[in-house]
Amino acid sequence: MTSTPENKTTSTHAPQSVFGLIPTLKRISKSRSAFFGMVVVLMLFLTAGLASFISPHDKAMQYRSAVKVPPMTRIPWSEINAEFEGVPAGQFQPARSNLFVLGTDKFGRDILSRILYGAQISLIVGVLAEVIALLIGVTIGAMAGYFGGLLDSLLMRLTDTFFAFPSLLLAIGILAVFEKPGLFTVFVALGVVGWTSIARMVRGTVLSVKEDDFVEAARAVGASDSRIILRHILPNSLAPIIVVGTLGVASNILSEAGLSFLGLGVQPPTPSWGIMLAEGRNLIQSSPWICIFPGLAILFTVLGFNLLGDGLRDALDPRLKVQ
Amino acid sequence: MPEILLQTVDVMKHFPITEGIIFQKQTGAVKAVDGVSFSIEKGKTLGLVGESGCGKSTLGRLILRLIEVTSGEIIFEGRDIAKLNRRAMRELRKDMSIVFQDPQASLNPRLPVGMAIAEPLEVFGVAKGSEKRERVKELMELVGINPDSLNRYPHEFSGGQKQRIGIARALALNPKLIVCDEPVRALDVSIQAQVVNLFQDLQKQFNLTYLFIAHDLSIIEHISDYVAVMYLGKIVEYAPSVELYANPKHPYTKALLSAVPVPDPDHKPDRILLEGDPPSPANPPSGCRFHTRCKYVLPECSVEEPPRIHFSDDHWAECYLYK
Repeated sequence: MTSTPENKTTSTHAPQSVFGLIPTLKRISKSRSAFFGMVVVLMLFLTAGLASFISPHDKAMQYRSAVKVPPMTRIPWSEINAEFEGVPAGQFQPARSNLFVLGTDKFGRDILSRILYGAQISLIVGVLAEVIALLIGVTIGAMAGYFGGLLDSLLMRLTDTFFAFPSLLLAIGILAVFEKPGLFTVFVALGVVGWTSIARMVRGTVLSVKEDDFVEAARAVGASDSRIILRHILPNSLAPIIVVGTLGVASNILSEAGLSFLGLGVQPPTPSWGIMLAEGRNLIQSSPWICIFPGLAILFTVLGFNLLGDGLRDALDPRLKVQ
Repeated sequence: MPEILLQTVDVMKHFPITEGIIFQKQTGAVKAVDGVSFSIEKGKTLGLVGESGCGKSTLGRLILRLIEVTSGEIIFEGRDIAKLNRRAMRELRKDMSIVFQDPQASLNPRLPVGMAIAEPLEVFGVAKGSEKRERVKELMELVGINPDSLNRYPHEFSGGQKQRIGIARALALNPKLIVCDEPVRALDVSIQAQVVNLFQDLQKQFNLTYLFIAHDLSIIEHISDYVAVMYLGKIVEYAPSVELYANPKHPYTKALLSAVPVPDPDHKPDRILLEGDPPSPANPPSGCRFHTRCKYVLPECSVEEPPRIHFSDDHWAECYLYK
């Protein structure tokens, strides 16, 4: 070979990837609000994962001696032990504390423990519904954007039709189809409702990415359509999908709380924040803590996911590289 | 008689211009390629020159059938590829490949370069596992890239290295024809020479046939066996490289050649300055397309298309001056 190869080794310092995990985290932690969101979301996942280890009381144990006690009420151990007499061992988790940090509800259940367990429900519903929504939305959006033409028109009109329904009403309609409401039906309903905006966004991104040279290069070597979409177009459309997915989790958590509040979602005695709100709403004047704390849990969770989503939007924007 | 690898017969590509959003009607057409006929012998290089927007790249894409022809035949090894079905065309993609002008854009930023080079092998299932890996390394070595860097991403390479990777990818399936679509346009002059030399080495080694598209006449002179000069969708002159540079016939070719800088301060160039811009390919001038800017214009030039005048077996121009 007569041509002299250019310097064969490339630069040794770390690549300036826009998308890598570490640089993304670095950029998120630069913004105070995004960092706050990330911490809240991480704590939420920890809480949900460790609920059975850190909750001071059983999520369903009803203390007759501690009905509607305000926050920071301490019940003598003797009374607590008396409550467990006659209850078959293993039916309830034994009390780890005699303090009711956030008070109890009208059945005498510990609110803090129920909020910790409620995080599991919120996360399962929020994340799984978003996974379903992403599967439907990305598939439809990518096909519409990539193939174009008649298929694009058909799929987008379908999306518009779904988009035109008030989403909570549509979810209620879908829930009505199932015989028994429950965890599974809730996230399926929310997933089926939530894909429309994802499909539109993915279609737009695919429309722009498919004009890139590397897509034509893949076509020139005979790559199939599915290979081009999965290998070339979608990996390059990931940033907006991650952002929309994160924001979607927040709205799913909110919708789940709403549905459960209406009695259409998760069924009691499962500790869902929406159910806790519903159960406490008649007592809001006499025992406000029954409503306030689950409400705050919803507020901070949704706020956390939204701030994280906004932070990711900034962090994944390739026009804003690391300074 | 030399073997003809590729021949085009009166190839046309008209892009429709439409008006209206819902009720679209065609109001005209951009005649990007308007009746092009040429042939390339096996193992030779045809240089295709012309100014921006004359249809060079469109022609390259038509030959690989990345876009469909409006009319005409593209005969590759005796078969008209414009009429092949999807499956037969896919098989044929083994035999032809393309090197793009922008190495940055033609590599998927999310795909390690080793996988980009391996893609043609995977698509056709010709090599798997360690065999595939060895082939990728061999190809990288061939184009002068350190084979150890196969897990790196495109942004970690310089422009010249990226173009070498693009060439490795084009070589992966041992093609017979490579369409080089201004492959050195985006590179520094010093790197240009290296890449052009690489193209020549590879041609000798593998008996490759090139359609080399460029607007830099000195590079075309260096690499081509034959040169076709294109103006506004048509080939106006065709000649062996040496002949064309020594004895240009068409006024447009003369004007182009007079614009090539000569590295001699005492050289007083006899510049032929072209007036104005090239006319719009949507509405090309009547008769000879060049007559609006030609300084030798004759009355008949604007009436009818000029005849093809042969000066020797393989040198012709379409011009009234030599009738």
